[in-house]
Amino acid sequence: MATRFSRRFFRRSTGGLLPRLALGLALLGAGAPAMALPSFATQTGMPCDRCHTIGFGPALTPYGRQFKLNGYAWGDSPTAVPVAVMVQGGFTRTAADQPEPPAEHYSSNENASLDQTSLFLAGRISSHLGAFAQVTYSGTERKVTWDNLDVRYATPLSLGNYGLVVGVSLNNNPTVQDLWNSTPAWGFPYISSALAPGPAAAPLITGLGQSVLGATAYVMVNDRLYLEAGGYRGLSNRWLRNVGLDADNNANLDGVAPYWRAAWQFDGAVHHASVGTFGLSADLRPDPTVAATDSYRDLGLDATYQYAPPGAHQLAANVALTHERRHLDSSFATGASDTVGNQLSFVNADLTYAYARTWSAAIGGFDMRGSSNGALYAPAPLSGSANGSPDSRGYTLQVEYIPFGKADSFARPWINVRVGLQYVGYQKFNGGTTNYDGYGRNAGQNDTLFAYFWLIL
Amino acid sequence: MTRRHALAAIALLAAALPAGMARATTCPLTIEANDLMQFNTPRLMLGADCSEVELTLHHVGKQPAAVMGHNWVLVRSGDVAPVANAGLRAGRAQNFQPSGDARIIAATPLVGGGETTTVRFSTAALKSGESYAFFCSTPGHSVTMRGALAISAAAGQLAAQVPR
Repeated sequence: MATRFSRRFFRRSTGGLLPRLALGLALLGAGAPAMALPSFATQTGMPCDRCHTIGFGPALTPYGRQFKLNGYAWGDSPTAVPVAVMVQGGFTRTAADQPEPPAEHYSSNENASLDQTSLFLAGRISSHLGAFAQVTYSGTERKVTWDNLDVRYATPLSLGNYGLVVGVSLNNNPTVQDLWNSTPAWGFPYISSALAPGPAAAPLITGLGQSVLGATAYVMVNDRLYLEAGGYRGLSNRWLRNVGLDADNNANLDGVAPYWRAAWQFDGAVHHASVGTFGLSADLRPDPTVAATDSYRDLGLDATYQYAPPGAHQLAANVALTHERRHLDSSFATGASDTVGNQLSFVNADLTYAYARTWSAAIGGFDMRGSSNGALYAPAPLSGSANGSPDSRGYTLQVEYIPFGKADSFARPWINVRVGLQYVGYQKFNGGTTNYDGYGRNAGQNDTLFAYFWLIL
Repeated sequence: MTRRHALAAIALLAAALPAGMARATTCPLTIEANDLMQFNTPRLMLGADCSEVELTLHHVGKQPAAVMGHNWVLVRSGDVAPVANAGLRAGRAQNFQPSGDARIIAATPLVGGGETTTVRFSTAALKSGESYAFFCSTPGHSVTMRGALAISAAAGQLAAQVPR
């Protein structure tokens, strides 16, 4: 499952090889991340808001990060049921009709949709081993695929004055194993319409979910320093077919793509913060008849802050900068890219205020800038660029109501609901403000209002 | 013996006592823990004249110890993470405290919502110039449930908790 930004920035791109890859990858995830699973709640006996801010994920509290770090294995309730179901959908309205319906069976605007239904197998397997596995039916794509997978083993160690937690993660989405909500897989705003337009470009690290499989090893030192390293490999077309996908979803990774992560966190009584870096280095062979490869070097910097005093008021903020250097030798050789050297930078920041872990208001901003490339970002209705620029900039406003997920909630922990209203505004889209696609469409016409519900059972 | 002679005898007796005995004082400290994995104070203060501490942990939450059990563990500041990790391995049966671990200066057992527990310990093991920390050793709780125990240079303030 891709997350909001990977879905938004990869969806319905038509010009150039990279956007075609992006389109395939985007189809992997038309829905939302998984969160606040009752299976974890029954395992630990705790309500959702112990692990998730505002009583509904995926944003993690310090304890939630510890739970994940330690392999989803804490809690030994004999009544734990390691199965959960998630349903997500809503109503999408863009400022102007799209040139064509965004998916089969839908209109060019004002669509009600059941975006995603997911089944989870999530919980403790043994005292140090746990899993988070998701299978999803996409209501817009009308197919069942595998979704996020994170199987991890972790154990605490004490070495002199150092308290360590060491572990390994087997997963299919770079950063899905991450503990903070500033990295791509679990980043704000956690949910978006599967039927709304999205910019053409995105760093590669945001869009590899479900098309790769990797293993990473990690260590947390004294609850302060987190270090992780590992690698990802692409999957064969046969493998992809077996999990509900197809060749269009193949990332065509050449060899192992190294992944790394480092973070320094501070947890006080009410203040929690982190700063970190993450990255991925991948070589892609998009055309097997061409000897050359396309190389992507993604380097991210991120920071988080949470304020969680005993009272009703909470704040959370995240910011991340991802810079991608590309050497598109293969694409250049086939004419899919104007130049060999390209770059892309993506900044994403958000601030959320929550009251009583029940009401929340959030604001986010994003800014994508990169090298112009007329072949990579070619003119096309809605999804193209008239000037070959990937630059996009905008903001997200969101209000939400989360009635359950607390210790005294109805039917705890078997039901949790999140309803919200989200507005995404574009100041620039695929390099332009007016007539950005070369077919007369303006950036503001892609502004999207999304009224949504999110149900966890 | 006149009243004057009696007072003089008492004064002489007090002067003959070892200095430590003369200051022998048990200082009460109280701290609260809740269902949100929080202590109600990040700092406890001991007066210089406290020779013994009686620490009372009151769990003001509602959830049982099996779900939201809390304890209070006192160690040197640098020992929080390794002792917490050792507590993870010790398990619930040992209150998430490694058995016989010399790094633990004092500790209470786990309590659930509405329950109270008390531990009494000597301050003889506390050295001036050293920093001490308390935390809850239930898995994952120490990241937020931790604080500092400080020893005041001044006598008179027996013990106190410092508001956030």
